[in-house]
Amino acid sequence: MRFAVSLLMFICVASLIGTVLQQNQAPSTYVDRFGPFWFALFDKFSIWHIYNSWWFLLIMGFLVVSTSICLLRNAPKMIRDARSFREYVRGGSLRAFHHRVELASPLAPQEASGRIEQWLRSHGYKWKRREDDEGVLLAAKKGGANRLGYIFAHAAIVVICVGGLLDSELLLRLQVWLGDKHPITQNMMIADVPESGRLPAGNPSFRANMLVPDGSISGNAIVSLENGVLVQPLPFSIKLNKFDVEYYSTGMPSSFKSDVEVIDHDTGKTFNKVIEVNEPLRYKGITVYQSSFDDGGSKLELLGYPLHGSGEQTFDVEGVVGQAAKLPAAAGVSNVSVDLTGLRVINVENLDNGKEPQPKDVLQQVAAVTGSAAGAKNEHLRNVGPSVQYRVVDSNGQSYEFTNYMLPMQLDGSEVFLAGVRRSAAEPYRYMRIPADANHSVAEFMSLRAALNDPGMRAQAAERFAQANANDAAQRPLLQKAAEGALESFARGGFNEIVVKVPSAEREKVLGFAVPMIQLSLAELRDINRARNGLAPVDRSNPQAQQAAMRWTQTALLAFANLPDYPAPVFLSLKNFQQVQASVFQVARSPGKNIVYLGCIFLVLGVFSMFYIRDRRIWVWIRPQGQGSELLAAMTSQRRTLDFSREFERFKDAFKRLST
Amino acid sequence: MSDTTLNTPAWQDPMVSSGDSRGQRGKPDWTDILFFLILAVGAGYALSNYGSYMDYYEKLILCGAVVGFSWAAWLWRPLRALMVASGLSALFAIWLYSNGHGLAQGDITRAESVFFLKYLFSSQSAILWMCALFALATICYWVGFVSKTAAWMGTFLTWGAVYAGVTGLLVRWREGHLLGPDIGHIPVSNLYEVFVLFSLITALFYLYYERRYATRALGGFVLMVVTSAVVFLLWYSFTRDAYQIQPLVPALKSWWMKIHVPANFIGYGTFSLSAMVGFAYLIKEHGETRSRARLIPLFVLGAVLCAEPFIFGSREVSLTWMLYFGLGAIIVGTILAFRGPISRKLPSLEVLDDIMYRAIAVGFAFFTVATILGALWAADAWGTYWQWDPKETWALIVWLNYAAWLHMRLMKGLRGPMAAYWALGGLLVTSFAFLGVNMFLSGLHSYGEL
Repeated sequence: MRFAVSLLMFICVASLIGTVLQQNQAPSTYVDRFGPFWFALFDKFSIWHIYNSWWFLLIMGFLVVSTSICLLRNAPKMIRDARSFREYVRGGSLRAFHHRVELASPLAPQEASGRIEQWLRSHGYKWKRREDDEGVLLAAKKGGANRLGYIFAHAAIVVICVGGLLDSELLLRLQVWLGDKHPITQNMMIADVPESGRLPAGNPSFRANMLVPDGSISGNAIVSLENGVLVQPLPFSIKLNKFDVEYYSTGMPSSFKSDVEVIDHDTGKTFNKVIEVNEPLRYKGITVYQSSFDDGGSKLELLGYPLHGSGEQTFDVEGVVGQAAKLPAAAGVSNVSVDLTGLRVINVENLDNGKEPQPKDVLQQVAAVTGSAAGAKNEHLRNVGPSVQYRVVDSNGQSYEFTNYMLPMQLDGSEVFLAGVRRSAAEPYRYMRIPADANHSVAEFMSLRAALNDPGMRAQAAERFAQANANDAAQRPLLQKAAEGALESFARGGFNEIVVKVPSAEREKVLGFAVPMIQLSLAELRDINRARNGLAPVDRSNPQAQQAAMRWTQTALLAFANLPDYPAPVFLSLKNFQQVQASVFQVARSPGKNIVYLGCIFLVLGVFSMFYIRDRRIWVWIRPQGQGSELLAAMTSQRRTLDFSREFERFKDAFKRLST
Repeated sequence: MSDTTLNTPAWQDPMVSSGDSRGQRGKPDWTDILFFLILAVGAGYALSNYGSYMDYYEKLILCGAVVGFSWAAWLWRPLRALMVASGLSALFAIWLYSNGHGLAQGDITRAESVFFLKYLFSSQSAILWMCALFALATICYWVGFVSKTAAWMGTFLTWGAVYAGVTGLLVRWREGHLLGPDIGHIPVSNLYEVFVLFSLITALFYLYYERRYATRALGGFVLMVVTSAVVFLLWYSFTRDAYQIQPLVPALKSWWMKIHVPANFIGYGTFSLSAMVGFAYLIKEHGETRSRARLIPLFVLGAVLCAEPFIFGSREVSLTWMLYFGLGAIIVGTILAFRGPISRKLPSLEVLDDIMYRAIAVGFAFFTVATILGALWAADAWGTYWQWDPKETWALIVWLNYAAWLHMRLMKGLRGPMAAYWALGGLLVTSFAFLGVNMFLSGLHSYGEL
């Protein structure tokens, strides 16, 4: 008993650790967090997957055994005890009870006992009557099921633990151990998986994942174990006809549905079914749940722009999500590889522009939250259209992840494209803003980038800048030279390149001079470049247009300043796509589920009968005393609560009245 | 000697088990039956007119609700008045929204223009009234230690708050549907809504025990935890706009939510109630003590618990946080300073112990059911009845905590200050499971993120 309680406490603490420490992460995450020494130590106790670790399962096992023994030992005694009326209590011993009442009655014993029996009946008691030469003893009881409560509650612990153990990784590990299975750690096609990487089709307990692209068919699921996977063949195949996401007007997904066709391998029978969250498919003892969704190999058409040198030749890239994309020779880069990692067709973003909440007075505050609970919160949420994600790995093995939006969005009053970069999935994306041109594309920006890297064009721009801004003719060549130099440095390395040679005390001053100069030169460069490309001059006919043109140049300036740090030699923008979705199912066979449910029923029965069935025992000893009789009654209960005392008071009262 | 004499109240005592003038819970009389019929007619109307919008289980839950509410109303008749009043007010609000075009129609923007909606019956206004009334009721209960009228006012205001809160939730349910037919759902889906539910359930259980044990001295204690919840609720709606109705994420779109969440909150509510009764027990226990050392643990525990919503509410030590913590310390300190007079007004230790036990027993039973319902739901939604998600694990820890408490009490006869400290400390565990998990641990239950 004490042992079981300490085991429970131990489980409590272990589960607590499990909630605080995120479970089932990649080992490298833990090494980063704890260092190699502690990692190795903790790894011995596999606290990364506490709930399936050997010692946790062992404790559960102990708990089952100890509780069962306790139950087996005590249950028969309890049942016997609950069934017995204890009618062989000696009448005199009733005086030892705390709750007792003794009185003399003018009624004859027979009449008194008759009345008391009537009272007992009306209050739901069952009783036994024992007569001996001394008198009559009535032994009554009710609520004996209370004891069953204990038995049920403890049996529930055993049953639930057994069911839980059946559904844990225990059986899987046993199979791996006895059946000589080896989890696969490298990438391979399912068809190529050797026998040692496949679990038997009759595997009684497993929990696996299955990814089915739109229009594809799959009859195998993947079980993850340790750091590898095992293939679990299923007795049926699933063909995904269509995966469907529905959205609320706010852009939040409202449902995920997979319209599937199930093909039975044994009979060849097929049927259709819609699997959605909260509506799993149950077939042949296996349950298939909608768990998430993924890309099933969408076809992408990308338009590539070089980011180095003065070339502005764009190139087309075609590829499939989940695979590497080949950059054509025209891209002029050979030492990087590009993996297309994702396509998101709908991106709902909060374009709130990050307005700070203004302080309001209390009344306004209150007024703002009265009325209906309709939200104004979503008005800044916009679907900003599709985006593409890819990873670029350079020859040194350095990899970065990129996300580019297909369409421009309005930010701070100008139309820009967001280009996100991050080192790994653990970081958030950092975004560069690329100004959109009149055709809502990045083309003009990219062309301007090429021009900025062309010394001839820079010279022309610097000349025009000097012409427009010099105070006199003597200053003009100096200014032109300064602007040309600044543009050259800026093109090479952004603002850093300009200030790198300047002592830190003067950097502010130099930048204060250089930035406006570069911006103005950039505006000139834009005009020159537009003329070269046969575009109409930038509209500066009215103040608004002037403002817009200036904003465009400013945004471009900031983007150029960031470009030298942009860790890819090319920029890929999404031109066209053909989405193929995939549905991710969780496939499970859990033999312990019904056992656990049975345990739950026991638990509910146990808990309710323990707390809400009150056990009561009453003994009444009636002895003849002259004409009348002498009565002695005692009442007891397992639990002496206030209720019991009150009930005894009531009984005493009734008892007194009955006997007069 | 006939049965009639047995049924006359044999035993006169302010504690009446039914909570009203009945000496014993008798057979349902005609008013109980009438109430049942009203509910049944309402459910029948809903089934015949809107049956096509409900699935099989939702119909079952509706019918179950009729039976359950009738049963609860028979157990404790004041619930009937509450349900009728709130129901009528909600219908009135729905009628106001409909602008006379039939109850099925409605225009959510009328909340801005119609007087009764704007100031009284729209969900937010009603819930704000609830908050205000709870705060006032707490003050009245404390003043009630010196004035009987104030204590009576406390009860009155608490009833008012519960009425306003229930009405607010009902109207909120309707407002969701007015926002869009696919948006409406039962208002128990996020942290804001369940906080309202929590306040209501805790207050209702308190009112029940108040009536049953004929004491108003506990009101100040129990309503303290409700007021904490209310303060949190206000902070949450003022700074995070949490009151706005959001559509459900796909995993929550299930009839399971309608039973899992309320059952859980009966557990949380009664556990908090028992903790506050435990606090009162300790005050009573130490009522005449002069030694400060014995009060220190109580003071620390009390202050920490008072500040808890805010410990969870903000990630860094902010000024508000400190202010709130200081306020909590002052309140607990004041209660301790006046422990003598307070303890003389409190019911006997035996009664306090009994309330504590009862509240935990009710809470435990419901919490067990709720956890099992959660497991059944999880089996449908996530594919496993149990997967050691932080919320699940913490539910297990809470469950084990109270299982141990009950076990110690029933088997080992645990009583006295130890049981009270444990019940009070249980509030820490409970509120971590309730709030802290949402705050600090990520998992599948992250519907109510802060």
